[in-house]
Amino acid sequence: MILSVTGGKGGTGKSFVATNLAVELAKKYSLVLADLDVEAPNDHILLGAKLQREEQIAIMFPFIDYSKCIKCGVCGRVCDTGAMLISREGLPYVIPRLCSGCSACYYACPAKAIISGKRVVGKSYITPVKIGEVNFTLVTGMLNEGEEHVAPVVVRSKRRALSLKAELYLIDTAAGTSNTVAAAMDKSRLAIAVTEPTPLGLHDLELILKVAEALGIREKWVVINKVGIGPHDEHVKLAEKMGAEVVAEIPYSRDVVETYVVGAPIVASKPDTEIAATFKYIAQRVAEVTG
Amino acid sequence: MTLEIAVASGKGGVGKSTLASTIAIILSRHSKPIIAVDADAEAPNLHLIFGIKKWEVEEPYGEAMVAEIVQEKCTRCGRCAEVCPHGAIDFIDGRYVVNTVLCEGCVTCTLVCPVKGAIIRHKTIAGYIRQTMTTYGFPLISGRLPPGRPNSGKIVSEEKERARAMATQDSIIVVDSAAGIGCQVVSSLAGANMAILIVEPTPASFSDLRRVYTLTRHFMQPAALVINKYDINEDYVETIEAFARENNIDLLGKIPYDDNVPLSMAKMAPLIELYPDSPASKALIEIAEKVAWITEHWREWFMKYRPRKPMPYKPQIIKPPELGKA
Amino acid sequence: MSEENRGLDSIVSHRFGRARYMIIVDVENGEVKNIKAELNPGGQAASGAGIKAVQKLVDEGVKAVVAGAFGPNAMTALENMGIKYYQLQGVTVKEALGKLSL
Repeated sequence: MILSVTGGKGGTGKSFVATNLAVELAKKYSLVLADLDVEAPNDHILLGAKLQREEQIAIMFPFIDYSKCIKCGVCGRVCDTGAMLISREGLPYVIPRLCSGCSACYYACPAKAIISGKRVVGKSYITPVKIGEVNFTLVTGMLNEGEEHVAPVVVRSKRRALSLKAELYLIDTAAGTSNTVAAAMDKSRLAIAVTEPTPLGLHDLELILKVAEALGIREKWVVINKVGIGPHDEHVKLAEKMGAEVVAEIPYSRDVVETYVVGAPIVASKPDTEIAATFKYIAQRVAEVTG
Repeated sequence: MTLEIAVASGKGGVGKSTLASTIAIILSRHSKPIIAVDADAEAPNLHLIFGIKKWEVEEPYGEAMVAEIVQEKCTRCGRCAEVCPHGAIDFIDGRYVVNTVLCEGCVTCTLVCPVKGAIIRHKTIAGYIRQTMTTYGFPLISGRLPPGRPNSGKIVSEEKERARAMATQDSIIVVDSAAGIGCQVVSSLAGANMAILIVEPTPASFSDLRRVYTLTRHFMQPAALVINKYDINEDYVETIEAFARENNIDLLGKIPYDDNVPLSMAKMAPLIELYPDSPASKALIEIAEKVAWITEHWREWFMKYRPRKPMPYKPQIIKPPELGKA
Repeated sequence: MSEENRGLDSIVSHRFGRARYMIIVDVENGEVKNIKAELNPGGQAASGAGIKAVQKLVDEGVKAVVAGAFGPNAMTALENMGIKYYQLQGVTVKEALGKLSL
């Protein structure tokens, strides 16, 4: 079963919830935690783990065989991102940064003058995590700095995560509501949206729940984090309106802030706190859905 | 000259919008013509901080395409699903169906489909651009992408274009970028005269800061740094300060953790207005005053903090073996 | 690049990719000849404006371009196509040519 932790607004505590929930669930299930916040992956930091088994993620990059090129300019016309420029003499030239690797030029070229090379845009890692007696696998996707094409890094890292054998796959998406967040969440049985009691949190909660709906995700839950910094009755109302259940409310606490600093999940470092108990409860609820 | 200041962080939730809005307000109190740009089109927040209730201008922007498989013509060969670079074609209940949320509208599937007209592309609205005057006497330009749609950063570029078109000689454009380091952040930073980066003293935030800092080096931009919630981990602050020193980044100031910040967010108003005497407000105002000084002594500051060594973006390209043989 | 079409008196645009017009001139031995204005295909583009503009410059055989600001993609494209670019704005085309001694 695949479940996603998401939220829309940055900084609500997605990674905090995802990593702690992963530790709790891994007590019962074989689990893969996929950190698909590829622009700014943090789960390994919150878990105090060193990334391992790096694999490069490359997208198609067109090489032009000028000896075969008939200077028809079709490649330039089908290029969706404008990465293919045609020189005065009719010769095509690719701007690497802009190329999204869609291969349209390759398929369109009537002279078969385009050869598929590759361009590395990111990396994925597989890291075994051990917290106390608990074991699980962390898969991390990371976009290379300066690269703009997030989607292939998300899609391939997700594929790598799903290729590992596990009973549960827990996906930590990025902040935001774009199609790359949707790609991370896609095909989840359950989406957990983490929000905070601020108008910004409320605004973004609605957006992310809409994305979940558009993807046809059957079960949507809400976790209200940092409870106490402001009123959250609007958030509860919104969740209800959008068919999502508020499964947990996590109070704002310096204990949590400290875990960010120290790099140890609260369920392991402070197992007797109320917050740790909340994660046990959420894990139980997930177990009910898994069946 | 028109100055463009981009505020970025890499990590979400560390205070970009709070900082950007404070800078805009303080600079406008110095009678500078300001244009605020909210460059986070997925989860825009500046209009909430400025208490905007409605937009003077709200118009659709851009054309995006979405593919559709015409089932009556489809021969179920599956080529489209094989080549789709975004994994946007699913095989459900014996049919190939385009996932309209993931489809980015490139033409690849149409090029490999053996049946003419089995895949068609529809136009759809890419997003919306909005603009309004704030109660502070300066305009806010914002954008909104329908949830689940691609964000290539082009909407950010368009917002900045509009800001530049409105700008006068002395205008200062303040750009509140999105979290991350992908295309929308690249678009936010591109063309800015300086980047103000904000970080929390946690390993996660510092890691993201270093990644976004690399982008400012690609653009050869001078950078300044603000450390937010510094008292949650004063030891780590030293590590960050050392990084700033090593890289000639101007450390503008440190903001203490302050309970009033989330309170002011809950009330939808700028912190410096609701709680002007709170510790974070005072620190923010001091930082904004420094930014005002920078705008008034631009050449001097720029000469001191501009990166000396270019660190251009280098694509990592792997040649196909066939070419190697030629 | 310019937002208006007034020949050499057109004011250089603050932008490149979405500027309305390209004011194209030939400069031979310091003399300005053959002034023409073309609509910039990037001007109305929803996306990839900068690159569309560069493509047009290439098609027109332009060797150097002046505008107020260039996006990073446009800059890369111009560099790769061997077109020089100069950052200036608010002056007329005539003044720009003088300033740059083109």
